[in-house]
Amino acid sequence: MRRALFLFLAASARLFADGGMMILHQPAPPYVITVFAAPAPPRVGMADLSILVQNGETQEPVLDAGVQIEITRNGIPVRVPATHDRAQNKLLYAVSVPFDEPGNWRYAVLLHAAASRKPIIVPGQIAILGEPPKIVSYAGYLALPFVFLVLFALHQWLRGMPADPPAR
Amino acid sequence: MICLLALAALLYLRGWSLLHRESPHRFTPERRAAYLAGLGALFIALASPLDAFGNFLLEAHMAQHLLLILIAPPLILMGQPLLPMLRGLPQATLKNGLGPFLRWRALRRIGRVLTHPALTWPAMTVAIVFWHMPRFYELALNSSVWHGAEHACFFYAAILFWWPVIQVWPSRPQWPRWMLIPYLVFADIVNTALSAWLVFSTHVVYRTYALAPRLGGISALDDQTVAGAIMWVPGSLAYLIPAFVLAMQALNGPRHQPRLVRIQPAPRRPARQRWDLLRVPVIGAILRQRYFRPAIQCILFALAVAVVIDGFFGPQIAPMNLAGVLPWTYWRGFAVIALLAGGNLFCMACPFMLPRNLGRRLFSARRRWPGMLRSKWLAAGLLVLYFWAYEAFSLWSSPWWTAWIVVGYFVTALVVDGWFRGASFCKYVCPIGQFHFLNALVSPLEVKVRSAAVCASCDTHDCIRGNAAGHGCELHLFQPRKSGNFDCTFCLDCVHACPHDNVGIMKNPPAAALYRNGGVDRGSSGIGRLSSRPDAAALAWVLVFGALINAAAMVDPVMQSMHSLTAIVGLKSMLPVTTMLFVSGIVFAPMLLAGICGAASAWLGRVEGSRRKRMTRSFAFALVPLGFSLWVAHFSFHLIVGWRSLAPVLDRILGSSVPAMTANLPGWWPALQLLLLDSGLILSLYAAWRTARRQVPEAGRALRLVTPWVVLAIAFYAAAVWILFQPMQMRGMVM
Repeated sequence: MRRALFLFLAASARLFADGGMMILHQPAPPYVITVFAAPAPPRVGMADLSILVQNGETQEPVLDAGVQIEITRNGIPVRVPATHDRAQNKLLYAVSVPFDEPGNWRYAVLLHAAASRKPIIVPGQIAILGEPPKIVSYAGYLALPFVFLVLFALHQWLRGMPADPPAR
Repeated sequence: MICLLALAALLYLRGWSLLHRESPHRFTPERRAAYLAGLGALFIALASPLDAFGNFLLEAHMAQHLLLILIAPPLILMGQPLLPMLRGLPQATLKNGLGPFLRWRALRRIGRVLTHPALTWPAMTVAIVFWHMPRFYELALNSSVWHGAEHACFFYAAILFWWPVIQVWPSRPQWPRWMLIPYLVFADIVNTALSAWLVFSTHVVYRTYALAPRLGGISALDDQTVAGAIMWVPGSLAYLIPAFVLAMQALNGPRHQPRLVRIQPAPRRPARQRWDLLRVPVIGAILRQRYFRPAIQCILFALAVAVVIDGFFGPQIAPMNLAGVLPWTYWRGFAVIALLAGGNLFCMACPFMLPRNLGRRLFSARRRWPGMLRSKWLAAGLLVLYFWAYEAFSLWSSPWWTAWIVVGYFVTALVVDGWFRGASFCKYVCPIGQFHFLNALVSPLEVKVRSAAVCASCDTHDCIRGNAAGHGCELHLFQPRKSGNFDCTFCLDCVHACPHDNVGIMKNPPAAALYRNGGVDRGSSGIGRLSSRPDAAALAWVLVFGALINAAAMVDPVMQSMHSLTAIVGLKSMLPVTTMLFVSGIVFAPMLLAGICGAASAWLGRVEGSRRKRMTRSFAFALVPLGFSLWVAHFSFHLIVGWRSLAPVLDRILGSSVPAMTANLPGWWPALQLLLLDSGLILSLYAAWRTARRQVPEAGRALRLVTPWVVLAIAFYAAAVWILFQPMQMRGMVM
């Protein structure tokens, strides 16, 4: 009960969830690492990577680890720290990573935790889809005036129609 | 989501409070509580930690779905939301906007079909079974779009399912009440079958949960069993309790059948006074202070002096100079936002009033402005000149030139108003003023009389003649016969002069001056009919097409094309190409398009020759909201991207340290820009339609008349959207 309450309160720190799709779930003794990506599916631009670190035996979330994501950009590895501050669900470590082009990107989760002296490195791969054309991304906004136009035409037509007899 | 829920709650509460007074036995506090609880359940389902655990635990996801299907919809419907939501709308929207739809027999028929139990039961069953199939459940788990579609499908199918059970007033039952008992029981059987499948399955049905990290030590299979149990027990209760209640009702005798009540407009209430900014506590009092306007003019004058000094003597690097930052990034952005949110507030705070007043003292202003220049032609020409010079000489990047422009403005204001009577500079010369006069036609506030009856009994006409308390209107706008904001500087001289305190700053529907009470065909004091004035129509076209060309010249593809053209022709300077773009885009293209649309419109609508020109001018003003929306989208973009551009300038002047510069555009900004353009297009199309209806009485002919202008407005909108989608050059700011 206390555990459930803790989990609920931890996630209640913000109203919204991180969400996203799971792109990695892998044991890395003595831990288990899970990585989520949002938006789902991830696209060119900024993507949020959220990392859950669990104790491999108890499955308890590990909240005091140091987590980094390493991404290779233009042949140069870049490390960015993932923190609880950036996560909406406080069980997760989160970081925003820019993906400039579509394709399969290699990344690695670097975990510094008390249980192991050396950092634990978990490699992974993420498929980044191309950016949809802006006209598709904003189709709803572009359609709005035309929806109004159709509704207005209908409105004017209805105003010209004779009134219905009162319902009995 | 939170905004939508808050809006739904506000609308309901407003309508409920009105209906509760009229029919307290039907619109009870319990119904209100049920509705709000339903919205609360929706909030918990979609915006609470439940969603956070949806990716880890099937039981959390299942609880979320139960809220969406079995808790939120029935609670919302128990609030009888139909009439309260309608009554919560403004009366005019309900009567004139929704009225024809609510009276439409076909729509009512569709409503009855959609809420017929023979359709609602299969709809709900299909929705639940479909989305619980592993393939589609996985699809929703791995795509935020499909996840949203799944939730929407559950919620709306559930609204339809529960509709005949709760029988939302004033809809009529379509099946005998006892038939709803098997309706609910069979729904429960489907629910039970699905639950049993989850509970008794020996493997994890949904792959994502098999791979998901296990929280709290619960295995994926146990999690699935718990999820099935949640679906089974509380789910079944949600179906069986209403079935039991219905059974009891059936055993206790026939239920009272509610009468069908037509939605009646509310009894006519005494006309409310229109919202008046001058009657808003504190703000109204401040605005009415005699020294308020001079005070804000002094502030802007001091800023203008600072711009001039820094422009002449500061570093000639625009992002490091007040003359490169204040006018081109901040002032333009704030000016268009003020027009959008209020009215012509720039002219109210105009820094050029001080040199104008100085000129009057020095030269006594005895002459009349020349008759041949009493029009907007000069100002329209100056605007074209300014738009061209801005691009041709990169004014934004030259603090020195910017300072000279401000000085030139001061000198012109001083000479013109020192030499000529009245506000000749404002009315006939000032290009900035014309920009504000025209675009203020779209603004939501207007200086106008509070009561026409008071003006009818007034014989002193102090609002235009002036008195000891204040000047009369310098621009010869006689308040009782004034329409719209054209030529109004928001100086509030009429407010101070009126002995009856009968002039206010009243709220108006946006762009009302373009379509209400005769629109631009209505005569207005000091202006005449805008549709009879080719100079005013030309000004409108310059500003509308100026918005497009000004923005287009900053986007990458257009700039590349201009460079290519310069190279192809073999020119050393881009000046000829820039000149060609601006002259053709702001002068010739509008003339050509006005001619083509005017001729096509007259031909399609069979309008005779003598009325053609006036009609074309009337339609020209209909495009003003669209042009204005592009000005706002464009200038506010520069404002928001260059929001911190002042920092390095202040750092240089004050010697303080400046935080690192960033120019991040919020993710929601493109959507907001498009919404601005959407609003502009909608207002333009509406104004064009009303203009057409004024010209010809028959709707069919009016439709033919307006068609070429609709095509032009949509083409303009498409061009504006294309421009906003392009990378735009950032000017006068550190990036």
